[in-house]
Amino acid sequence: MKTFFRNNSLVFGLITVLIAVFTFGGIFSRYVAAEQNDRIVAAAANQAEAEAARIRNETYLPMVPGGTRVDVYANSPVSATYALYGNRGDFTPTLEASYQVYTGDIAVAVIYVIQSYGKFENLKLAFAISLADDTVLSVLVLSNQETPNYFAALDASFYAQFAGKPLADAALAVDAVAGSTYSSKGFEIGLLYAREQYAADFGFVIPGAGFTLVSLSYNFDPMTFTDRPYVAVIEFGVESTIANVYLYSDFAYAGLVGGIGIAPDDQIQAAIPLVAAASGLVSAGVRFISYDAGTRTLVMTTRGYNSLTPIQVTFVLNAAFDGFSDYTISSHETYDDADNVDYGEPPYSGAAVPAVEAALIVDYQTDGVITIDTVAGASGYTVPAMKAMLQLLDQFLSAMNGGQ
Amino acid sequence: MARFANGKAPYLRKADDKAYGTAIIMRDFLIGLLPLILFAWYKNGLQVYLDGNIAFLEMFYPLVFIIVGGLLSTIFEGLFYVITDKQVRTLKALGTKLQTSFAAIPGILLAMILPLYTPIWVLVFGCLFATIIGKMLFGGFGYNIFNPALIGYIAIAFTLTGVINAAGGALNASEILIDGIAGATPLGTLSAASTLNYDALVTPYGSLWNFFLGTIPGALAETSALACLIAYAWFVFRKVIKWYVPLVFVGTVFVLSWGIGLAAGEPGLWFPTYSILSGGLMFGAVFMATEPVTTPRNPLGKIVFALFLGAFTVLFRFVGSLPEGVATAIVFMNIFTMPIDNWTAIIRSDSPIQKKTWLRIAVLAILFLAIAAYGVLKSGSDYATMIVTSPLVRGLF
Repeated sequence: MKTFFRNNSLVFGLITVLIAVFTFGGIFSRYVAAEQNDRIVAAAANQAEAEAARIRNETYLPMVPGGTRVDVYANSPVSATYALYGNRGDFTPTLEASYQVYTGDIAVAVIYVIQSYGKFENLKLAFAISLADDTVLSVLVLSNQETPNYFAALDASFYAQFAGKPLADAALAVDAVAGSTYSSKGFEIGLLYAREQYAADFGFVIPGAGFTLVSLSYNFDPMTFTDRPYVAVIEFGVESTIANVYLYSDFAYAGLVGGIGIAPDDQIQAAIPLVAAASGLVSAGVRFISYDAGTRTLVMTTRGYNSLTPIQVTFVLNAAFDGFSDYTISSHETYDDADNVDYGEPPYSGAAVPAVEAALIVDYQTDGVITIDTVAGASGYTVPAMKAMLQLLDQFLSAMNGGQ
Repeated sequence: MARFANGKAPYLRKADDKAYGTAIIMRDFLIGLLPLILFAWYKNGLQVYLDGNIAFLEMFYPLVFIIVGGLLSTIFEGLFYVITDKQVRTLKALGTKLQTSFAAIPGILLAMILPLYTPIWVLVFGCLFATIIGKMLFGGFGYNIFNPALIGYIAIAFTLTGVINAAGGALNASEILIDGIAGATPLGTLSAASTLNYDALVTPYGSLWNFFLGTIPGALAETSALACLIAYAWFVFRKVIKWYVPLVFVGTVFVLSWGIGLAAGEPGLWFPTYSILSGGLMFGAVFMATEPVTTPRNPLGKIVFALFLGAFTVLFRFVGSLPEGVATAIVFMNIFTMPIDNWTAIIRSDSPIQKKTWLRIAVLAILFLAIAAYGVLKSGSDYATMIVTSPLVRGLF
């Protein structure tokens, strides 16, 4: 063994030197590589932040005149729910991001990026609000999947209505564009939510409506229900004045019932639509169209999948007002209204339109209650719309026969 | 009567002359490397430390890396001798052997042309390849047909580039902070470019002056054209190399790159200048293409060798998928060193030139022109597709 090592001492010596060089070099190499890796990660993070800042500035600075920098603004999102048009229930918008815009070192505006309501998902809007006077500066559409030609109807004049709109306006209503009612509603919900968030972040006090909504129900008076579908009881003023008022289909004030009582002032009248719509007490999607007392023919509409053309049903009520003897349906519940064969959704496997509408009407006609829970392929819009219509019909019949 | 191939008579043996032996040549060679080593240390160590981007200890890493490269190749060569040669089993014999075989050179050169953040085990792998495969298996110093350092480099480039990039790559701690560079060396940027545009290729690195000085991202010690020119001047002064070899090599790349620029609709001289100042062209031209063992010996052969080096560098760099074409071109041309030597020796000695010799000249010329034309047209059309309009011609490319 000793001889072996003596004869090969040079080899072992060289291998030892090799290991020593490798170990020393390896440790040094690992050290500098680890340091460099940390620097690369930090540099990448800095570059990513710089790029994000560039994109932020490029996207949001044009929303705020005079703005020079956009920074991320940390806050806690508030939660708020808003009633939708028609029979579509409620919607809860979400806060995607918040930014503050600076002019020099002075914060001049806040921007809220909000995932709002649309006919389809992903209507993402940014609202810029001035910190100086609590007014909306501008709105920006970041993404949407709305029907292109309808969304295009939201022209410059639509967007112009946001600039300068004071958050102190209790109603904060957005003038909808015909054909783009869902998208318009998305803007309104987004704006209301932005105000909620702004109030939480900056201590802004959302103005009260100036009245209390005591009740809100459908108008069952055939003489007036066509153009004034709702009646409400409101309480206002220091003397707690009570007034019965008519409301139009968009919940706008339409006058005192019977012309009796004290009318609320303009400010309260302007606030009524927001409060009434948010109450959820009635569905805005179902309406009486006409009633012929001679023939006891009642025409009603309800909004289902087709947002432009609601389902219309003509009922011939029986003499005892405890049901109806006949009905006719006019329905266009397919997406494009061009091929009105079925409801267009893969789960649906029944007969052509208006099979679902008819099935629910017959279901109600049988014993005065709706036993059908839902129909696959028509569960989202058509079934809820028909249920709302039949429930309103039930209330109308009850009103006509003295509550029986 | 035919002349001798390697020059005019009379011949004097100078190898044993104390002022002109192999040892003197290698000493001069190492002196020539000094400007590059010092610049590598300045650019990747001292300056970065002064910028506040690395710690004091890290400042010395470029020097340590080069020294470790030299040590590794020396150790590998020593082990090879001890294991295979019974005459070299004592420390004294081994020392003498290693001194005369210049064992450290392949490792030093290899370390200089690798990225700064190459892991040491990769350097070990490269030195093993360079010394054992590239040098010792061919018989050692003076017998190798390939440049040993480049054999090690190519072994790494073809297998471990991803490892090097993952470990930090070529950019030093100051260069990673420059947004416009985006992690790429100039040739890396060029390989990803679809057009020849000054703003895209040069502006991120400052100006062409930076390319000349070497303050651009790249391998550890090959970025400075200025340092290479200093070494070139030293070598010419000391007659270590033939002055025209680097000139022909770089000049060929310059002319062909200019041709590519013209073909791509970019006639400015900035592009050929960018081309010769990028990557390891200057380093390869001065230190590798002039290596006396693996390149032709007669003057005409050296010129032919350099011409083809230029053509193949352009071909590999612009047409091939390799961002750096110099190393591949040199190793590839090493294969043809002997045939070139033979053919050019005959051409030189054949006076008056016979018909058969004209044929050899024609073959070499056609080969060169074909490679050059293909490289120019192909890469030119890659950067500007409109130049090849005929379907027949387009099919060729």
